[in-house]
Amino acid sequence: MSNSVQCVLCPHLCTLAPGERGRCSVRLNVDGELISLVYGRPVAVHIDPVEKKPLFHFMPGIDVFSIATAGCNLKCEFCQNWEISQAAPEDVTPYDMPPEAVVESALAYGCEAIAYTYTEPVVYFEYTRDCARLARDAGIRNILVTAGYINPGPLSELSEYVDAANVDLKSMSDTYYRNICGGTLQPVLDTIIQLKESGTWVEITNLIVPTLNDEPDEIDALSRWVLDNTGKDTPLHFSRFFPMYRLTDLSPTPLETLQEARERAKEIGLNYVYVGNAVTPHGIITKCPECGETLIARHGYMITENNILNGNCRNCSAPIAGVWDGMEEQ
Amino acid sequence: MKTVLLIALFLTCSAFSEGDESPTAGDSTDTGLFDRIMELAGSTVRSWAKPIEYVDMDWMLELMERGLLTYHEADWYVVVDDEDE
Repeated sequence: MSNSVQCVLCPHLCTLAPGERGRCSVRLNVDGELISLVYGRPVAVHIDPVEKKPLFHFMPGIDVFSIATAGCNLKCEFCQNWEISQAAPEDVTPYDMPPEAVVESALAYGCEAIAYTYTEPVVYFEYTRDCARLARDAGIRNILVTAGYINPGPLSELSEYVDAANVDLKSMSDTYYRNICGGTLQPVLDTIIQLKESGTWVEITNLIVPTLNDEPDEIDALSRWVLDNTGKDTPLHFSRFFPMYRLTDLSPTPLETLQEARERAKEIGLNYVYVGNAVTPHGIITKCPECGETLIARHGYMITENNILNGNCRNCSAPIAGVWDGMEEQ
Repeated sequence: MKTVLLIALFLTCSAFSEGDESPTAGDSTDTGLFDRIMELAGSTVRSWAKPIEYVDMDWMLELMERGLLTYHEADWYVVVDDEDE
């Protein structure tokens, strides 16, 4: 027996001899068995507003218990959490936090949801799934913040417990995915569609990196793909790049580029387009696509105005796409 | 053998993930998916991706015993058949 295994969790499909670990750095072949090195060992534990994920149409204003282990199956050169996402598990000191402790802590801190975020929840699949299963039983929602580089089978198992997801759609170019991120495009597109079909509330984030993916044609192609494959009510967040990790020689994304991207996406037909990591006029305001009135105004991550009543526009009664449970009415 | 296992696994998963509402549930009509699986299954060199690495197993074991790592059984893997070696 060779004792080699092939991990089929993500599209890399790493074949591992004993003593080898996958491209994610957290799944290791020990004598012919694949093991997770990070189960119950998060390296980041925080409480964030749901708007930080970002999710703007999912229970606005709630606190989210947010966790991450080390590791990622991509290697994005702009990663803002690279200290933990690109770290091997032995490089960072973890908390000892089994799923039961995660759910108990979320309850103790009054969090209505748990987010699997910061790094890549796909690579700590078993931990995510077991936490999510317990959370569901305890009445807590589950949020996946992911690059979406996962195979259909595992995603199907996971999405059973996931209520909302923000998926990074980094580009519409496979070359960009390979050269900048160490992955491929198509599996990410498949993931977004599969999540939508599973009933998960999905929002999409696109980080606009100057000179790399900021051409108007590419913004248009991405917006059209979102419209055609997920519908006009899927929120799209254009996020501002700041020099980070291996891309410190680039400038931050100009605000004009972000504003133009937002306008183009709205022109193409998307109802909810936002600008993140930057202060721009209208960038974080939700407006009614029917009457144009402000539905939710935000200051940073704080909600300053809410005109959604029972999921409808207070002004014209148009139904507003999203999950609005528990939203305090003003 | 490995490729056959993979294809069976993925097609099963694909059909499973379509849900009950699909009129084609149980059949895979997505030939693109099949092509992608074949391409991925046949691709062992991914120069653009992060590398697969050997680790110091004694060091891993020590870290596990100190509670800094876990040896938690993973899901979603297949044993590679000897014929493929």
